[in-house]
Amino acid sequence: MTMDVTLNVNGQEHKLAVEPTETVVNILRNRLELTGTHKDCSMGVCGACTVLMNGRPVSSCLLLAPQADGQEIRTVESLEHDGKLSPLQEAFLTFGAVQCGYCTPGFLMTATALLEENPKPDRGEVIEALKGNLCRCTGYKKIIEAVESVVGQ
Amino acid sequence: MTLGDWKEPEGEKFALGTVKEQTHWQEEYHRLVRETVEQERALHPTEVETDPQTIGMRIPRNDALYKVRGRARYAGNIEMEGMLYGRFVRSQYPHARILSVDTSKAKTAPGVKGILTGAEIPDDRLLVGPISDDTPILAKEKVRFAGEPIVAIVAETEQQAEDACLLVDVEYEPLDTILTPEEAIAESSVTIDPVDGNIITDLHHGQGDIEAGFAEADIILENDYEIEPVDHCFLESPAGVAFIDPDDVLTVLVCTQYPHYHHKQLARVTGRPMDKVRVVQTVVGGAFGGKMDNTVECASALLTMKTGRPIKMVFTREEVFTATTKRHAMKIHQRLGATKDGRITALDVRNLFDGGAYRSYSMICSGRCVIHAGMPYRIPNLKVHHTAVFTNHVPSGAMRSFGVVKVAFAMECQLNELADKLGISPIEIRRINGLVDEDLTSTGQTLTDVGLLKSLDAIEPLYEQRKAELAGYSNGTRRKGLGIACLGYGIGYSGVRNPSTARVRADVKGVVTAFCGTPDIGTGSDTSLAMVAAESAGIAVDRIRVVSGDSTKTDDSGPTSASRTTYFSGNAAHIAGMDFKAQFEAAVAGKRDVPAEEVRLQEDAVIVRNERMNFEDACQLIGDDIEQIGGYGKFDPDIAVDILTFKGNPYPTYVFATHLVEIEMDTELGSVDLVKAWCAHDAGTIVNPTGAEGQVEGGVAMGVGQALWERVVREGGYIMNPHYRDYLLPSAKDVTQEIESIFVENHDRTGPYGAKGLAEVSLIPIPAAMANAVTDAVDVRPNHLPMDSEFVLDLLNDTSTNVAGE
Amino acid sequence: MSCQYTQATSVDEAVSALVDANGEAHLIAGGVALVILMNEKLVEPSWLIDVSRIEALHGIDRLPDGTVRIGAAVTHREIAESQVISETFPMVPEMAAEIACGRIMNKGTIGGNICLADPQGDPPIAMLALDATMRAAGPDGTRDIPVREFFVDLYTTALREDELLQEILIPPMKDGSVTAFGKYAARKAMDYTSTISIAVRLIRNDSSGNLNEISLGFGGVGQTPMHSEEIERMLTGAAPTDALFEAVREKLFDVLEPIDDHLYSANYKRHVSAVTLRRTIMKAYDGTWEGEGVLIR
Repeated sequence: MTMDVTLNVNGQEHKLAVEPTETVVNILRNRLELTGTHKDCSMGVCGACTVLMNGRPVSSCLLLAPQADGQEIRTVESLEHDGKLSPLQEAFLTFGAVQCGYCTPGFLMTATALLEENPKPDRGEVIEALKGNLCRCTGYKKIIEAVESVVGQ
Repeated sequence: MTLGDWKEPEGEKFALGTVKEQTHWQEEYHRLVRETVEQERALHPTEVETDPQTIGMRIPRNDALYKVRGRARYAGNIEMEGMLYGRFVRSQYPHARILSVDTSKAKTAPGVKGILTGAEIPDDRLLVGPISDDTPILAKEKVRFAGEPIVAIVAETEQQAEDACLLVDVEYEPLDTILTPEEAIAESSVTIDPVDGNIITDLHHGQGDIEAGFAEADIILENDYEIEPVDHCFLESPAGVAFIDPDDVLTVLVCTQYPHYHHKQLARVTGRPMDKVRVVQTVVGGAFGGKMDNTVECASALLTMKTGRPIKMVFTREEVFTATTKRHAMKIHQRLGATKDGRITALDVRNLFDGGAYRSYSMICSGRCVIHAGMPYRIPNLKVHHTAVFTNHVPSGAMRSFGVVKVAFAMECQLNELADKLGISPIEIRRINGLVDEDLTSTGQTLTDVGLLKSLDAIEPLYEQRKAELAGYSNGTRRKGLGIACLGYGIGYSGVRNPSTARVRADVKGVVTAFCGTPDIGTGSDTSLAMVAAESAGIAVDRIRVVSGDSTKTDDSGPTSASRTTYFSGNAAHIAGMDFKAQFEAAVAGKRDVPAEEVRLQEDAVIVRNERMNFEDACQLIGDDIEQIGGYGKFDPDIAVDILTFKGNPYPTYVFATHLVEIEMDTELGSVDLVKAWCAHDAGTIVNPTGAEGQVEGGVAMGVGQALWERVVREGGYIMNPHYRDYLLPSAKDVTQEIESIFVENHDRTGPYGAKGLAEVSLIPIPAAMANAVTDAVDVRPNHLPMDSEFVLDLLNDTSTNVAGE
Repeated sequence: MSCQYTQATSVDEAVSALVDANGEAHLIAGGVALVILMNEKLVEPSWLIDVSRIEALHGIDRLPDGTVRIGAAVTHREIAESQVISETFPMVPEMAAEIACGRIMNKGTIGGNICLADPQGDPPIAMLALDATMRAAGPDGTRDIPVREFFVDLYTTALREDELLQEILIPPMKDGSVTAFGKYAARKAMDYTSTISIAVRLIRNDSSGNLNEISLGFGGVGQTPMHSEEIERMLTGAAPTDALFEAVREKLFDVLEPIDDHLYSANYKRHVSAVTLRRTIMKAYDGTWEGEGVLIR
């Protein structure tokens, strides 16, 4: 049976009738056209589907719609403002932290949450925060450097 | 996206969205590139007349703006009106005859709009494959591995398609299986392939007199090595969208390394003329050799033709593990003879390759393993016997280095053992035997611009210093060790011509578009190609848009694989850029009525005698005639190898490297951690240092995984760990941040601005270097990949295998 | 298949839904384990009862008698950051900080983890070493289950179908008690498979230096999160010498019941468990520790 939920996604309220077992990643991608949140392993391991719920990273593939009811969800699409990249997005670009890009939205959201909570993380804290996001292309070094470059900004 | 939106304007890369979406962000890109160029110019001043203006700069990738915003078009992101979603029914058995396929229940299931079985595809269109057409799009009579597709179903939702798949009844008669190369080679009542039995290929190669070589040797080492299969683990699963466009062109948008291959294949399996098929590469979320075979393309194309509706198919991660190609499981038996002063006299290699159920790229990987036997060393007397066999495993195919990572593992470990036994340093043993200019390879090719010794020279002081620092290090159960490994690797296809072409055009507004067939699969090749074209044309790099990987808009330039794109397509872009420049200058000269020699296009401006005009104005001046300008470049080096003797020139150039790694390990647990890697590469001129470092760092990370944990676990023909919980990829905590990329200066006379290539090769030395570091730390010789902690601990506990017991 | 979803706001409401569902419902808190099984189609729930918003299942408090009460729906992240817990049982936040990764810590709950009864789970063995009490709520009110009786079989707890775990009560430790947690995993992050862990509570006898009041939990080496009174007896009153640990190691090879898996053999797991046990005891005993966080290497 369907149920009504309200998802606050990137500051916008969406009232949706959902199957209780629908995952937020599927809703974002299939119903809200927010395909920047990628989907792959469906086990909470790869991190490609990372979104922020109430400011903290979660796996949207393991998040059922009713669990997110009334909560504030942020996706990669929320990072740019008025046609400008966020400093973190720009750093990913200039530091070469992006290769195939499939993991990139997940890393950006994880790092965004880190920096909001801890504006001056040291390298160990950056690595600790990013340890749950898989990247097969970059070897992580440039991602970590990109995050470090905006510390204090 | 609706079908009506599909007709995108000329000169636009589909993967990055529509022109409307791109305009604003293109401006942002211009700003970022200009800032970068200014910073780089300030740091490294250049002379316009003599120095490269773009090559060597850290130009930001031209697709990253879309990727960081979550707007890049991966195939799985594409929706179209009326779209259906497809899933496959897959074989439950590793080897079985199909007695019947009953789809009647599935046909009436909710939402189902189309079902395709192998029986519906004519025999002459059923089989596909990258090298040999041997793999059924859908199995009809027999299945050869568990996970092989048998039926494809499309429905209004993915869930409905998946549910309907469960309603298909397939009746099997299970057959005996072959699961090891040894079984495949032996006499067997089981036959996997109707044409070749159980042998895919059996190759022999050699030079000199192997017996005389061993007779001359003072020392002979004989070892076995075993390497387990691994998965590419590109983060984006194979995905594609197929539809018939308003001009009746069958269009497939798909994440692939080689759109033109699929184009030809689709024309054949659909019976459509070539100009009624188009394959467009979407943004590729990693590939590493794993996106060069048919996955969703043929079935989705046939189903869109059958239903008249757009079809989307996306593999699950479990399907990626169970039904896409793997790196070959391999066994290597190797005998190495040398004189007591360290000179190799003979190498006898016996390779066994588990090719899995179909041929895929087994022939290509096998050929490369044969040619690379003994690389990068002078082997006066060589004998190679390589056999690739069929088994009832998922097919093995191409993966980063086409098997050379395993060949190098054996060779570099054995060379280390030789050095130890002779009391020669691991650097010196490689210097004694390492290839240099004018050396002949085993195929008889004369080498030029060989940078191997330069890479050794770069590593040697680092090694000596660190060795002194670590002397006697011991901390409880902790030990540290240093390991060295080298590589030599041929760029491009093995032994067959594989030309690349590029075109450069401009419009009156000053937008320049470079067209090239080789797609950017995440490596940044579109940016490198833009840089080369910009350098050669004399214009700003951010002016250039690259349209690549589109089978209609670009010529077939081969796949992005074999580390070939910078070299082959870079050369094509270079030639096309120069051609464009000449035509452009001539056009301006014509308008100004001056001799062409008096017009120069450089630094993004046109100089006519003493007058300087900006590029846009020059384009306006040329006006509509600008459409006549078409820079064209084709690069097609003479490559040929005799397929029986392997004699000839298999590659136009070779890259070389020396890696040094430091590991720390726990002798009580057997666990190994990479602490630091110094990677000295001869990749020729570096086009974009940021991109090049990224390739090296990524290669190191993949090497750590393959060295320590990664293995596709197979039992009875089934894959037991088809997901990321049990197949372990290195995390940010497992890959050291201490990776030093060292690019030795070595200009390749045949490369674009001296560039060679890099992508695959940074992976190759890592497992061997880590194994050698384990030997250095604890005196055991790992001969197996992965070297998981239990394996290493067993070595430590087994006195017969440690070095002291040798 | 259609699924009913109950967003419970009180324990009573959740329990009454459990009664109505008659064994057909699944409780969901963070969902980080259940939704994996749902995505894999291994579980297709017909009724989900969400307990994550029940006020009574939240909060970490120190009760007047020194007992620390942790609501079952408290997340790993909250535990990792809890001042109240770290003051008394520093091993618990250290353990919680190494569960999987941040995304999982932010959603996964201690109650959900304990009720999953995964033999590789870390919170269960921490609770075993601390002799915690599991307070279950059911139709007849609450019932306290000692943690050593809680894990009855593979992925099976002592909870009845109409009960839920309401809170965890960790009793105060005797003066001089110290705790430590140690874990071995192939990777340094995302310990999803083949992990071996040990939780330790002990008192170091000031005069003799011997081990006293020792209490242990063993992860990844049996059908359930395990404890072993036999091993605890061997260690109690003994001096932590090489000879002792060698004897314990031999005994462990009898007591532990790990399985061969894709990564490691059962024997290797026994070995690693013995090494982890010694290192974790020594970490509690005198702070000797070369590891990072709770990772033993």
